[in-house]
Amino acid sequence: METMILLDKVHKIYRTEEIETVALENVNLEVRKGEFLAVMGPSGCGKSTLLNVMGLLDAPTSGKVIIDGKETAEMKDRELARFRNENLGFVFQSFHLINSLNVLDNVELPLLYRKTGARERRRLAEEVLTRVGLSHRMRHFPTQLSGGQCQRVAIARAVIGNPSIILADEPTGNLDSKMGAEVMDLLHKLNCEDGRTIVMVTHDESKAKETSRIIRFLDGRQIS
Amino acid sequence: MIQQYFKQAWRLLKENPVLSAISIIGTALAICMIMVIVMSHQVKNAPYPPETNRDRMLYVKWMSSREKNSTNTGSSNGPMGYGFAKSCFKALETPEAVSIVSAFAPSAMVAMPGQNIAENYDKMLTDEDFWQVFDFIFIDGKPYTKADVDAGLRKVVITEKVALKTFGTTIVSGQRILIDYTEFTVSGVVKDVSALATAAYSQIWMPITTEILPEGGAEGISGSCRVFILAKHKRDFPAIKEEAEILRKKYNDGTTTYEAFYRNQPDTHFVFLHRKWANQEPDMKSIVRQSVIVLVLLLIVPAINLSGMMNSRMRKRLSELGVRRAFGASQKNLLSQVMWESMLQTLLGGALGLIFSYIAAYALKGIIYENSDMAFHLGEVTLNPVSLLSPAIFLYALLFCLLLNTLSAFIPARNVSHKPIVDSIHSK
Repeated sequence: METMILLDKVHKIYRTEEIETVALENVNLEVRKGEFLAVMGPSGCGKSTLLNVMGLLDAPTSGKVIIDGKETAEMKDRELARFRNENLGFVFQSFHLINSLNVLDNVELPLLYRKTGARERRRLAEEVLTRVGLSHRMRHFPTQLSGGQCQRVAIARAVIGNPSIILADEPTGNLDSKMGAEVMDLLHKLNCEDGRTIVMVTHDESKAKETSRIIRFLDGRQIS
Repeated sequence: MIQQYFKQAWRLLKENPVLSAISIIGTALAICMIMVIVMSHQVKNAPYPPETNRDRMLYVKWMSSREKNSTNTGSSNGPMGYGFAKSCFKALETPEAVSIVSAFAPSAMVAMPGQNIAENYDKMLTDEDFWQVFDFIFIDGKPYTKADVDAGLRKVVITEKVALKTFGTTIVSGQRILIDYTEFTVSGVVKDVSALATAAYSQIWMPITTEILPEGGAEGISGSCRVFILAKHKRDFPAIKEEAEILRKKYNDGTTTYEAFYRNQPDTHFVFLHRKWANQEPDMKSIVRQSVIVLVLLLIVPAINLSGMMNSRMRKRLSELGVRRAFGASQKNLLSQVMWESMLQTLLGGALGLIFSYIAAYALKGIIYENSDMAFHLGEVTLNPVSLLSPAIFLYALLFCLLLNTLSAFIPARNVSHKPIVDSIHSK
């Protein structure tokens, strides 16, 4: 299988005037295409930082981040934005939906930055919302939905642009077990049926065991 | 995309009605203050009847004379003599028309013959070309002619108000009227003229030859007249000035003791409005600079307040903007989004401000438009809706909205768009 994400000697250090915090230390990681990878570890071990670096939301202090064969270090803001838009989809623990937009508009968001026509955006949003079982909630606002429904909207938003990689930061962390299971089912479908590469940060051992590989972090270092 | 931005901005406005109302009213008051100034400028400078040709008018308000070949640097300044005006300006060939009028507008007692009660009205002495230079609306009759002026016939054009007060009707051409106890014939009746029509304003107009004009001396240079020149085209201004200069030199060649000089006249309408003193040229650079400073201050002060409000709104939306960047928005996209969203608010405020400014223009016209010159006028300051509803006013309002929007939203927008994505997403 070909490599989808490659982290080569990645360090991430947060510096303030008084303190220096090592969030990632010499991380060498390869995620293969179509893989469903779980990242585990205690709070503050660098899991989310790893996801942010993989998602090009944060730049490493040193080391290389290569995604789908492309070196990302030299990319300018516009290139990075375009690359994220076309290749990466994000699912956050607290959903991060935009409360002033309805479900359809939230899901359409990534397509706005691709200059897709309004009609096509609407068609794709309806299609993907139907797929996540929310065709009856399209005109609702996030505040009118349950946590599970919000996370399904967030997944719909993450996949509407057809990215090859989904980065999920504790996607079931704010959900009860039933809703968590529904979300995991959706992620599995995206992995198995669509062949998307998924990297999921989780604290939940049982959810991690459902994935194809687990890696563990401690104090910014990969320990297994 | 812009439609989406506006849609969201509208929802955000509805989410915080109090804050939104404060922002919109703040914007409206700022635009109102600016537009009152713009409207005041427009009313004094934009063409509308009877000063329809302001853009191709030149004015000679005062004349100056000094001793010829003398070390004496003193000068005599004031209105010009009738003969001088005829020699140096009436003789111009480049313009379409040149009118000589009386410089001062003393009031005159007006009554119907046989009537015991007379009313005071502003009076102006003009030649026949006055009616060509300005665009009066005649309700009845017609203006007096060159033959009338040459013969010094006692004819008069009066306004609608004078006609109604004196005769009770406006159809009075051919009727007799007493002006300062002398009988005149009403030649025509025109629509009332606002005192804001600085050059054409009066309430009764009579041939300049019906009175003996005081001639001040300096070999005919000084007197009691001023000159209005109507050019065929605005581009003829330099040629007219050049021709007037030739005529001035020719006149001076014929004098023995004094010579006339123009102090850079004839003036355009804008300069004419600001030429107050006869012995001094207006410092137009300084006048323009002062106006710009006032406008800039009126823009910057509310912009700083609005910018503060915008900043606090943006802080609340940081997480959303971080998410947008995660899904592909560039810094430029976010900057543009915030500017467009803010634009909606500014346009709403701008529209409200424009309405406020129209209300202020009419309700406070005495304070806004009257000046010391008008203190001597008996007529009213009336506003012509044509000048206030002109496309230029709307364009100015839009321009100032854009400026206010840029000044108030750009820095907050730039700040949020440059914040690290992770910090934005996880901000509360």
